[in-house]
Amino acid sequence: MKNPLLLSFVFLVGLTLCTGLISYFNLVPPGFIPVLLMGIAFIKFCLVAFEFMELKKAHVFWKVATVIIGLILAAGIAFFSFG
Amino acid sequence: MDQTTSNNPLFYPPGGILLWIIIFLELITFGMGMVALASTGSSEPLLFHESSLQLSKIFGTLNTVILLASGYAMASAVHSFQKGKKDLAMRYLKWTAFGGLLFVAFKSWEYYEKLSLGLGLGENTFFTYYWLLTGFHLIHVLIGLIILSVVLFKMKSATSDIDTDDLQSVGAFWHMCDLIWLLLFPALYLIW
Repeated sequence: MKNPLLLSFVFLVGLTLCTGLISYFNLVPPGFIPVLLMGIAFIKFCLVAFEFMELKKAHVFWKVATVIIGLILAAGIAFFSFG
Repeated sequence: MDQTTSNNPLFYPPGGILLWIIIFLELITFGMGMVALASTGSSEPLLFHESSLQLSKIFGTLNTVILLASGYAMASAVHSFQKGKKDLAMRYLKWTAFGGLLFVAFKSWEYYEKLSLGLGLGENTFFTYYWLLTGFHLIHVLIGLIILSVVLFKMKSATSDIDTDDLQSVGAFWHMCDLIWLLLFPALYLIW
């Protein structure tokens, strides 16, 4: 598959289906679910930003800022859902 | 603008610096809402678990795939336009809009189901977050659809002044809706 956009899209759909299956069939212990699902969400967040939004062509500031914001949000949701 | 700023890529992210400032502000605003949702959920785990069971994970997954497909079409439209293939770019933009409309249709159906079960904004704290977060996200998708329609209408004209920067800006706004939904979907539908 030579088209990087299509490859990213297939990977994103695959990850989405994985998260749906993990949650629907309780495939991992409940304690791991927030970390695993938000970890996968963060990977998808970066894929959309870098591939679809062409952030890979942007200045390093925008790459680092986007990754940091995505990481803080995903980690924050996972962390606070534990209580 | 002086020579230093006009050549520096720091001031020219894809889509434009102003739009990226908006994207960061939107992500932070929605993010605070989602962190508040997680924090409230940890103090009321049983209520959040039972309430999230009222949401369809299949519907949520389907809507995520639709939004991603729409995002793929948007990225392909920008890519085609950059290569000078205007007709192909317009076709991709129509698919993008179709994906957006499908997302709105599924979301409306989901809202109708919830309202017919009496699960409104004031039902409990989980549904307050559900309606506010998904509602504001849906407003962003609707605004994106209006912008897409205007751009498509303008591109049809032979004397269209739409350039790559304009299309990248539309794309950046559209993908912002993807970014928000990618965090919102597990936070609301899956982790409880």
